Amino acid sequence: MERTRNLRLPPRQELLFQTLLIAGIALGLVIAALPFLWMAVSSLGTAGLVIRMGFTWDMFNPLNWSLEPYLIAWKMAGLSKYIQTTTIYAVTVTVLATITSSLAGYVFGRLRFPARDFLFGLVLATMMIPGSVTFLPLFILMLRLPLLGGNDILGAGGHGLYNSYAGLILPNMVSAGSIFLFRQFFRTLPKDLEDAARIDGCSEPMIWWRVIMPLSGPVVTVVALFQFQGSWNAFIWPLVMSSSERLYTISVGMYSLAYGSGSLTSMAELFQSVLLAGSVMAVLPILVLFIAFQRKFVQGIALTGLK
Amino acid sequence: MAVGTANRFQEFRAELRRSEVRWAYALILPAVLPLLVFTVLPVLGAIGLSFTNFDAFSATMRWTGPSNYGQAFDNELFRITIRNTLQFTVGFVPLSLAVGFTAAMLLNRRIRGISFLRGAYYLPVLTSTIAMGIAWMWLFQPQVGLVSLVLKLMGVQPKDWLNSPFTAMQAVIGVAVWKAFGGTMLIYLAGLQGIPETYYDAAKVDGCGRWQMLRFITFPLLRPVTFYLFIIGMIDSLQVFDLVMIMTEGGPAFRTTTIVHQIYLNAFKFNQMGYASAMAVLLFFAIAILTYFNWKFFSSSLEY
Repeated sequence: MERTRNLRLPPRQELLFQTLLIAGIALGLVIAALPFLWMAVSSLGTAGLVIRMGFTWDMFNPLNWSLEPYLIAWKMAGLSKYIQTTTIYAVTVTVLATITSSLAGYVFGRLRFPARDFLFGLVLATMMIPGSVTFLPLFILMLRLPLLGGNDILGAGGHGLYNSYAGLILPNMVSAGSIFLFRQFFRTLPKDLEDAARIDGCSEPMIWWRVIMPLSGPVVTVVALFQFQGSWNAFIWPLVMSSSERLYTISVGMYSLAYGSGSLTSMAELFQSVLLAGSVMAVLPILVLFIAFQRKFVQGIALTGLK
Repeated sequence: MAVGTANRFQEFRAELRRSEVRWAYALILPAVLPLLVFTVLPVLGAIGLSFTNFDAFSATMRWTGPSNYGQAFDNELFRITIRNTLQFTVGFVPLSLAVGFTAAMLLNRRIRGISFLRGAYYLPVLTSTIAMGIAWMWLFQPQVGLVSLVLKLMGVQPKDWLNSPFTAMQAVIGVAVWKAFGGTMLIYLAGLQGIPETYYDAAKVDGCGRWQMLRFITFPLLRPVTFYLFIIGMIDSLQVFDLVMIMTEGGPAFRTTTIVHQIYLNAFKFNQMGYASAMAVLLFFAIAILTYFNWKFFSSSLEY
């Protein structure tokens, strides 16, 4: 990719071009990173300082920083509970969806059976149906599931799986996009391996678990990472599915904090810092994952063409 | 003896085959059944509900025919919603493509620290929209927010960006572009790396400059990528929700309310589930049409 170096302009223009290039890259970096830095610094108690005094460089002086907003967010504002709920939700969804999707990907990619292409077409078709279309009817479905959560056989009387972990998790227990990704990858593996296992009397789930999955580390990692990231940040489904703080995920919890359903609004100056401290805590796990698996994330995008 | 062996072998193969088919159905069940129940069924449900005045809490409903659709097209707020969503699309799609493409051009080189830079540009995509929405609300704070501070240096008078009907939508679009351009960039980067180096070499031999190479090689060869991103960008624009909820709650005075925000409000605040379902159905068809274009385009012209 050394295109620029092969192309020699006259020295002065070349210098100008290189300068502009570096300036552009630096500007992009500032635009991408500055909101994070401003958020982090303000969350350390300096937002109140800025509100009181206007902008001062004092906010960058570590002597003015305090962790108090984090303690308040964690203990009083319920962040500890939200993060616990989000962790349970995101981990369960990731594990379930990775298993169901890789099994289906294995079957669609490696086995022959009647109606395979029809069923796979159906899976592909569901890929284009987004949650923003289905969340309302899905909510009603969960609310009115017969015989669950106090409902009678017609689905009346109780509240079904509304406001429960099961209601939160079940609709996300499989991902059509991940099925597609697994299928594409499994198709590239040599057939001999599983045939050998089959002759030795291995059943299909054993082949999937013992032969296919051990060869699929990279794609499993990519799928799991995106599942986790997606469910960690999920908003609309947890929002409509939870009626009490007990089931608030971090996004829903932060939303309710921002719009003042708690006792925190009375804290005026500190409130802004607490809100930002909560946001930092919502972003931090994803940031750590991203730093640890940066290459996988980038690979995943290239692999799927998804954003 | 030989015949017996052959028979047994045949039998063994047939048994293997049967077992393969049985297992196949058993193993796709935990994937296909939830997709049917939690994705396909709700779409059918939405279509059904859109012809009723369903009330989820008392579970009563009456058939109302297509009046929910009539209500949508007569409704001033629905027109505002559509206009807002289109405005968002018209702002967001070209900007996220242009910024993403520029970023890809900037970072399409082998220098030290390039993967750090790409990662930094990409990071906003992965973060929680709600959390970063809160961060941006602080950045847009009228008196002491960073946006006001920077613009003041450039001689622009600060205002209450998110509460002014003249700037709220622009602010939301700006944050949406900030959050999305990293993804567009990565896809453009993959596209750029797929262009054979020899094309540029040939152009150089012919005496092309940087601009001409961009104009006559890069742009045309990236057209499929651009088309794909264009359609995906429109599909995303039709569904903006999180950002609007956290930054403006659709305000001021519905200036930034969007289709999905209206579905949410009508269903969960105004208890108008039938009307909300009608909007969900319209959204579904809009997305289906866009997806069809994408699919049509890519099944006909995948090769350069």
